[in-house]
Amino acid sequence: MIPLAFAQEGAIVRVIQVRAGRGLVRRLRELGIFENQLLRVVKSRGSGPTIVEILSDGSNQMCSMCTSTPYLYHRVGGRVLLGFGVSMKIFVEEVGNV
Amino acid sequence: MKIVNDVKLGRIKIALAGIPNVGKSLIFNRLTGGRAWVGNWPGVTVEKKVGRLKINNNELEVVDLPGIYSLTTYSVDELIARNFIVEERPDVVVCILNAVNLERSLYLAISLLELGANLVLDLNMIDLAESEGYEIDYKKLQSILKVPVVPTIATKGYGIDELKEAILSATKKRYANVEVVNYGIDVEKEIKRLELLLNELAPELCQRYPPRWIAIKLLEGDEDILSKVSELPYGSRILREVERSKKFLEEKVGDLESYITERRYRKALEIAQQVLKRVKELKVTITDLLDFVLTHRVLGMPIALSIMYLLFRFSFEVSTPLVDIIDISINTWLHDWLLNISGLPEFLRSFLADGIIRGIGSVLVFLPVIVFFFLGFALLEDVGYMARMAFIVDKIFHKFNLPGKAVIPLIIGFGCNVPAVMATRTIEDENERKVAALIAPLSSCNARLPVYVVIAGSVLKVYAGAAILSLYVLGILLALIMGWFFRKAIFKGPSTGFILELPPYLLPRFSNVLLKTWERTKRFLFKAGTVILLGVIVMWILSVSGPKGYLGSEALENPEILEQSWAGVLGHALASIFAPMRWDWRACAALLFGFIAKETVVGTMGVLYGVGEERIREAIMQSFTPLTGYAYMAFVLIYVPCLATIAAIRNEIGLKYALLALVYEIILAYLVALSIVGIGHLVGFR
Repeated sequence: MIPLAFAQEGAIVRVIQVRAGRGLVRRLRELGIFENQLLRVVKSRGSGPTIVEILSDGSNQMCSMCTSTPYLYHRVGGRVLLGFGVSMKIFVEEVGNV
Repeated sequence: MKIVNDVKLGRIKIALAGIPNVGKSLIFNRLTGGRAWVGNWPGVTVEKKVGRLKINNNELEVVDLPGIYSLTTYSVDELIARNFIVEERPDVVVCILNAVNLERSLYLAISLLELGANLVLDLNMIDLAESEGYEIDYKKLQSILKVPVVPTIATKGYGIDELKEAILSATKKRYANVEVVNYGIDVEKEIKRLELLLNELAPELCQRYPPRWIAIKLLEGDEDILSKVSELPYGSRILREVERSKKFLEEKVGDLESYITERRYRKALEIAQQVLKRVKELKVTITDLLDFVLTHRVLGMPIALSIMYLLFRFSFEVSTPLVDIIDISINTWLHDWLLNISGLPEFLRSFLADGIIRGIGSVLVFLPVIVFFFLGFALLEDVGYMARMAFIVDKIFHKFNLPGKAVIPLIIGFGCNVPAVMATRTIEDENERKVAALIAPLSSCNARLPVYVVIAGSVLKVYAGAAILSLYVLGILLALIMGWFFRKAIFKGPSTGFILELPPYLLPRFSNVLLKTWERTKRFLFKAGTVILLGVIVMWILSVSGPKGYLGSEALENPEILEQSWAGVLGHALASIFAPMRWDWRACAALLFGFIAKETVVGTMGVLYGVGEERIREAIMQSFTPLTGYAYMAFVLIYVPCLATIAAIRNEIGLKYALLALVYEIILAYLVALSIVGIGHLVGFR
């Protein structure tokens, strides 16, 4: 388990825990960042901000978008920029790479 | 035909809701034909836009709600939207969905349904979803949510008539679906229990809000609803029961608030996946490619600087011919014509020509530059670049304890500080927003440029360009330093975290760009129309009258008479304060008028040196050295931007902070000018 800020660029990570105050946790949830959600780390720069892309939940087997290829991860949400402070509060594990 | 009567009485109200960047303003304009009036929301100074929608002889009132993600109480905007829907009970709420960002839009739509809104969904930007390889089954969406869904492309006007029809028919039939989310057996049971309790103990509250919604909000721990319930006669009993339910449920599902939002979000996600059809596989999107370069570790910053440089060049180069036309027609033709009208008394002619027309002219001369600057800026914003800019500078801003979002007001500030102060609204954290509003005026606006051009051009010769550039850099540096200082000294507390949604890169939607440009320009024009006009009138009066009474309009031509005027007296008084900088009384008097608007500094100097703006360079060369000239420009950069900006700060964050801005900027300007002169002397400049 590592803070999102330390994840590699291009990695796909699963959110394990968000350790933050109520307001921030709620805001992140509304944007689709909560436990078990898959994210792709689009950009990460040292002590700077991180850009993530919200992916479809890997556990959802009945994903209707998987029409042609057995596509494990889909972009479902937009991109979100998270400041360094925020991305240090989101704990994730790396599950893959693209 | 009851509807028609209701409408005639102005009873039918439509509210427009949607997440940011969904094209809401455009839909508003399409529905109302652009005729809107602006007011403030009760209790806050956030702008409220209202317009009229005409459908087959029916007239409906359309209210544009702020762009929001949900209906919590996280930001002022959310509270406004929620209170409006609850208190004013609009007959129809149109929620605009972003087809490219469906699940986030659906989250808002679901929240609105739970609140009991009579909802019509507008699925906007379907063309963009298609270009991203998606198709959305809107009929399926309609049957899942049980409310009408109308697909539109606002930029092209597609689907707008259908939307109007849907709105009209929704005024006759309610589409409500408060039970859109199922929270699971245990939670549902407790919701039902609380609902019954509320119906019994708080019937008035249940008439205003759906009881189910109150129950859910109580379980979520919503502060606004908790305090409303606690004020009721049986409030404490209800809250005790809520605590009981909460305790019981938290053992089963963990933190209840997290659980509820997550269920809601999952519902949005589930619906999105049910109605989205991927018709094309796109391995790499254009957004991927552009983000690779534009937010690149090394290339990002130089590209950002080049783009900013191009924006400046664009606004100045393209507007030059227009500036000349306006300058000649107003400042020369109209001015001379008015001055020579026979039959009017001399002082009235002078007042009209030298006071009002000169004043309006000095402002309108900047109008083309500002319009093109805002046009370029809106273009960058619309393609999605400005959000990336925030990403690029965030690392630097973070070191000064400022959010990356603060860069946007600073850039808008290069155009005009008034919309810059207003742009701080997007910053959620109150403390960060106040700091951003306080430092925004340090960004060097277009009105300051003519002062630099004239003075640097006269006394710094070949170094003029570099000197002007250095002032822009100085402004940003001081903004960062002052921002850091304010965060340390007044607005303490940790940074709440910077979260910004990055929209996909899109081709600019021209109607959108033009709309944004117009709205910002309008603020500038409003400033010109009120504060600056008032300012030049005051300035004219101070110049043609003095302790001895009316001096006659020759004062404006003859420096010796002018020295007898109030302007002269005040200038002399200021010159003693600025003695270390060795600025003469005329330069000091010009600073005084610069309080009103920086545009007037050059014009005032022209008047005070008695030479007109054409030969002002010679006069400046005689009274400034390169060193004192540079210090003067730095002072002009830093001290009060203009009255209108101070007024904007007062409107946004309060009088106390407007005064703080006024005082700190004057002190800072004095200190910086003093150090420039001091250090300059030490290294041997005169």
